[in-house]
Amino acid sequence: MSNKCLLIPSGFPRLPLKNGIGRVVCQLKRITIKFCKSSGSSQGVRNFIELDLLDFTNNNPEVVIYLKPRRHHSPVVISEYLNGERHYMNFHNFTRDNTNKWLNFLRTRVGIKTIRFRKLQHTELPSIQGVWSPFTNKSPELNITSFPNEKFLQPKHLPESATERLRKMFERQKLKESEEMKMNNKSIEVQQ
Amino acid sequence: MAINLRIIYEERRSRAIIEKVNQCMTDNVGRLFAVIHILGKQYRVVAQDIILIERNWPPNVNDKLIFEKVLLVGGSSFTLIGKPVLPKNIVEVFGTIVHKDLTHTKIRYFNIPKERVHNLNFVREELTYIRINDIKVYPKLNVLENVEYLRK
Repeated sequence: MSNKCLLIPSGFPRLPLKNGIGRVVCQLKRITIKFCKSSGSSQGVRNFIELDLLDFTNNNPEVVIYLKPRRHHSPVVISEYLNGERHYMNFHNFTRDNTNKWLNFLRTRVGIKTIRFRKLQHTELPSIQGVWSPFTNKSPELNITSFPNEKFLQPKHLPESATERLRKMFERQKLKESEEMKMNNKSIEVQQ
Repeated sequence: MAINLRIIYEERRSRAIIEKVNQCMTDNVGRLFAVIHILGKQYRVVAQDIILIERNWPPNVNDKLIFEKVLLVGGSSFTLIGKPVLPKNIVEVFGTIVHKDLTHTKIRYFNIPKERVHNLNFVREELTYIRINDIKVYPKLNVLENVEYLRK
């Protein structure tokens, strides 16, 4: 139920530029942080800039960061990605830890628009041993035979009937008797 | 006597099959596929595949993983089926985590009809993209060191 949604566009999982086949390239290009120097709503963002921003930049040298002080505005972060996507996010009344967490979230993204996934997997090679069909690993006997054929008219696994079993018992008995007769004859010959 | 003969025959046959599979694994392996088990789900996987995992999962971007719960490996000429998992010295599946994101907002609605019980939640779960880098197979089928459960 939860995965059905009419308004959100749907699609299949893809990654830009074959990312991850060689090394993983950080897709985040630049971040602009707009904040107020005085108002309380950007207190956490200001704390982040004072204490954690240099660590963030040292850990992620491929990301450019702009700081824009804007008077009496709530803090806003705009992130831009290599595929040209822009992501706008409001950081109103965020704490220092919260800003750290959400900036890391923006960093780990690739910049794909949020869509509903129809499958949670993507393969270039759907089959390696060949696609299965009902005729794989079957003997080609069917191709040669002409129909109607008595062998294929019968059910595959027919249980043994009572008459059949009786017949077999009778035959076994006959064999036994004949052997006994032979033995008797031999013994008679030896005696003679 | 007859039973012993049968056992010897079967042993010889199985040894021949094992030798043949080992040769298949050494000569020209070609493309391999595997079935791996991650967080309660099974995925059929080839090198350069993408897998999504919709759950809170600690591995972060750029981490390299080795998937050890391999249920099945196959090439164009052979398949190995674990019972239930293949031993580590035969197969390894390598992957990297490329991208972490959130899913779209899902609606979780629960109600009991004719009673005033209803619960509406909007949820965005964590999404992790895994890229499968390589599947490696080691031709050690006849070498059964430290593997007790295969032969008793």
